[in-house]
Amino acid sequence: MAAPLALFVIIIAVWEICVSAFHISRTILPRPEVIVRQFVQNFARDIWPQMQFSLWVILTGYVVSVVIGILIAAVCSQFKLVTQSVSPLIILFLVTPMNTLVPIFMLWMGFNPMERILIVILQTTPIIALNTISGFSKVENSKIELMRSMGATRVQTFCKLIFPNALPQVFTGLKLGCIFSIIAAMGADLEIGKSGLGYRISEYSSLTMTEMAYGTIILVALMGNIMFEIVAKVERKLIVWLK
Amino acid sequence: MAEVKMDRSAKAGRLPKIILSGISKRFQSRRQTITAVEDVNMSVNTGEFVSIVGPSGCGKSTIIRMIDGIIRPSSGKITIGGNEIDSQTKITQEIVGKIGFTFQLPNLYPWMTIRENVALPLKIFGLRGSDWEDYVTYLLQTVKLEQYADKYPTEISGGMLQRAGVIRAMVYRPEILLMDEPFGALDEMTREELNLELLDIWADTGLTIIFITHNVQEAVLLSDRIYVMSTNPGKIISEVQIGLPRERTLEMTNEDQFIAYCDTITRKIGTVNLDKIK
Amino acid sequence: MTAAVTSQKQEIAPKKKSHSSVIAPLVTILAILLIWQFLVIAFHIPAWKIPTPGAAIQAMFTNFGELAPYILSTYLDILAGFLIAVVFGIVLACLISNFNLLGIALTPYINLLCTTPLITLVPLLMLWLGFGNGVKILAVVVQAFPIVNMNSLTGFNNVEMMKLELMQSLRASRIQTFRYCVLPNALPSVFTGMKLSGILATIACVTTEMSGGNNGLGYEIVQFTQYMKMDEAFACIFYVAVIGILLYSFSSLLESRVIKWKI
Repeated sequence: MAAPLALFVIIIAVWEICVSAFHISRTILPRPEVIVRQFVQNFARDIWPQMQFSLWVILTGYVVSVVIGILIAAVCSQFKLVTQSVSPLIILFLVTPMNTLVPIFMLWMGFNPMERILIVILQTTPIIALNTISGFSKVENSKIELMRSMGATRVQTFCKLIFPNALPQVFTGLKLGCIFSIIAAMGADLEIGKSGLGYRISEYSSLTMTEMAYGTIILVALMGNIMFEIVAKVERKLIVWLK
Repeated sequence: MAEVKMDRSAKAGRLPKIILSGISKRFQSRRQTITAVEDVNMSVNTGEFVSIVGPSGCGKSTIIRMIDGIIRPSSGKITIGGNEIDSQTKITQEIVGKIGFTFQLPNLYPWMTIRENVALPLKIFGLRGSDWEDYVTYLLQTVKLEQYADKYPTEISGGMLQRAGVIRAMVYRPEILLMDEPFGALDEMTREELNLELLDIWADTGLTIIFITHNVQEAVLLSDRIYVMSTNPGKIISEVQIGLPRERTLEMTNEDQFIAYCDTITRKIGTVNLDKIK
Repeated sequence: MTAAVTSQKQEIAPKKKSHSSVIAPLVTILAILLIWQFLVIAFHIPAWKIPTPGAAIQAMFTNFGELAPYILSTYLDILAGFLIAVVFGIVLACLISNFNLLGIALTPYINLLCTTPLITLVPLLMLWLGFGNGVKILAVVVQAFPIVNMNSLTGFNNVEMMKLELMQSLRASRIQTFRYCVLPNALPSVFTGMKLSGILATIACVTTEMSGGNNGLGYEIVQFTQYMKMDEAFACIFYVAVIGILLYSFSSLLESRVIKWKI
């Protein structure tokens, strides 16, 4: 616990010293103290509305992705053929940046906020689906046979064996989903503009308001981290509860 | 590469191979000090087969790891073949090269074939040459694993994996074999098979074996002598000499003398448990 | 983040790769393309809204000459960034895992980097460095590095106690322990990190191209869409899909060559 904290203090201290000592231009690296001051000053007026917007885009997109992803995985787990047909397709969607569709969506829908949510869904659902499919297929056949031989029903086998075994992999997918959804949202912001925290960062940069840019970047970083930690916490609680 | 059958009577009267005197091990956690093992005194003669039995958590695994140097004792001295080792001594590959260690689980590396796993200690010790390679093949043949030599651990059964674990411990021709409940995870039939195979190997090689188990029958079947341990903290409460004739067989397990030994030892473990129930 | 991205399921009893696992996806993709083609034609959807897949694939070939420099720019930048990120990511993880205190201090920060969308740095990067290929490569490295680093570090650090005890019981040196025990044990995690890294590399490069500058496939997609030349725009999207698939396949192929044992 102490070591990371110590590192943090050292980093901030070195940062302040370097900027002063080497007369680093504020365009490249502003002083931490200035960043904090300006950010707090401008937060309510400039940042907060965009933060609300981005949060809405990310969270809505994420939740829908989770639902669709798990549904896809559920269907796949019942039919081997479906998994074989659909998995490579899901991988295709995973490895192709869905941001490429942003200009297309803009052509169709104009500046509709829905298009950002759609991009998030398209980029996030594949990774959740794939990891969930993998999680549910990893249970050893011998263990399933054991359950059946003890007279367990399909439902019981699912609840007592398959589900708990699948959970770690499912949560890996959910955690990766956090990362992908926020990247998709910020990417869409950069390309579409007009609203969102990503757009704010690009605006601040072009206006050389680097203090605000840094501040917003750090804010987005914290948002991503908190989202990830929440999912991780849910995972820990669930694992304990299942034991 | 002929294996010479060692005449056990010729070894009588030699210095003990392994001596533990006053061995204790304490583990420090944030809140408390846990004494795993307290004031253990043991000795094992060359070529003997000695078992340590006791309930779970009595420190058997800790003791055996201290002999091998994986864990260092908090206090006390271990003497192996005349070399004294305490908590400070540097344990060299020379010393370790005399000791083979078998784990509770086969502990084979899944990324190596069976042959590569068995030959791994040779790589670590830098023992090269066709002689050693032939010896690996010989060992694989002895335990009937040769046809699986190029398979990966995930492809063969638990019994075969444990056989591989045992010959891996022997591949560099150690003088001592330390075995930490090697057959505990196996089914009864496979365990009995491996017990007899182990006795054959012991008869062929004249190794000094320290064997850990919680299965009293297994201990009586295999050993010359048995140390009985109690738990919390781990202490030796009794030493039992097994006077059964050598060339032990499974039929013996039904004989009165055998059963009597099992009863005595079980009772010794049992009484201590009752006293120590917390 | 340590487990598989895709279903790399290995059962205890080895299964033969059935024909259906190759045919089924091909049939599915073909079916989707045909349905797409059919819908566009049947509903008379204008070409400026969405092209037929046929037209888009055709444009991939007919416009190849014109697109070539952009394809090259994007592909090379992604590959360069990816390779740099992966090599540094793995090597650094290797070093960090060998120094306990360093690992404990750095791990939360690496974690933080992983969960941060580092493409948010792109505007600043463009402010400092302009719009050239360098910026793109840098953006790729910045976004792709943390995840391969994190996954590799997790792999190097999570060795079962018993496996290490074997090395200890043989008094193996640090290098021997790493070579025979730690490294092979970490490989599955390393490769998962590589695959994820490839995906993020592609996303980062294309996003950068679409937010500024005038080179790369991302830029072309924006341009073509503005002029409503949808055949060409989709052709570019397909080319981006190609590099995504290539990177992923490269990682998978390397994985199957190196990891010869069943996990």
